[in-house]
Amino acid sequence: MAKACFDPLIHAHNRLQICALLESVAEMEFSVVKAQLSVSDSVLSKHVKALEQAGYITLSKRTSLARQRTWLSLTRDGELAYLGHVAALREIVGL
Amino acid sequence: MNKDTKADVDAARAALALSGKAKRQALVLLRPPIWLNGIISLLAAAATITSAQASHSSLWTFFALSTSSALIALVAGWSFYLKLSGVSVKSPLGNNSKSTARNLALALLSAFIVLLGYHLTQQESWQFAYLAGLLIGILCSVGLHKLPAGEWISQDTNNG
Repeated sequence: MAKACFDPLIHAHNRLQICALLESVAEMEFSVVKAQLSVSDSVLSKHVKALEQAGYITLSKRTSLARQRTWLSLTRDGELAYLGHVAALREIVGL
Repeated sequence: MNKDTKADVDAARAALALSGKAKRQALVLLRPPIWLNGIISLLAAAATITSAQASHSSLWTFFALSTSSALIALVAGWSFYLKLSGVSVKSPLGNNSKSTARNLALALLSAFIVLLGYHLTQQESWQFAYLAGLLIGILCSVGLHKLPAGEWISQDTNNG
């Protein structure tokens, strides 16, 4: 169980959704995350960059079927921060 | 409460709902379509039935191997399709401790049903093979639909 810790970086709606999407999978492609969030490339890039700089997600660019694809994955620190943030939110709500 | 670093109750509730919705979206992406779920569950049931009767004749053994191979190929195919679609599945034992425990419990329960079905079919009656097959089919169908990544998908999930 992650220790409850409110994280202002993750609390932004789009960043919270990115962490929630990535928590259940090993990796998710940039375009899939973009489609799930219904945001533009530039908006998603901005949030991804913020999370990457904090060490919460990692980016890897790989070529598959002659197409360059960018994969996002949550790091162990990112997973702990996300779970801690969710635990903090649950504490605030009183769950 | 510091407004810069903490959220009020309504904002926290909204954030939890948003997070739960996004998590559900990710889990639904991993869920196979109903037709594929049906085929995989039928194959799992058939593999259980045929393997329980496998020692009776070489034909049953052939069917057991065929259905098991088809089952493995379909599951691997679905995983490959997901990867091509931009979603890479976590290892069944590499997720958080809760889902790892759920996956292990499901695997052990399935193994227990298969072995019990085999044992009772050899000792008692061939009908136990069909009973075990039915149980495995139901377990597989519910598992693929509701627990595709070891985490229960509910309509109103709230990170619970």
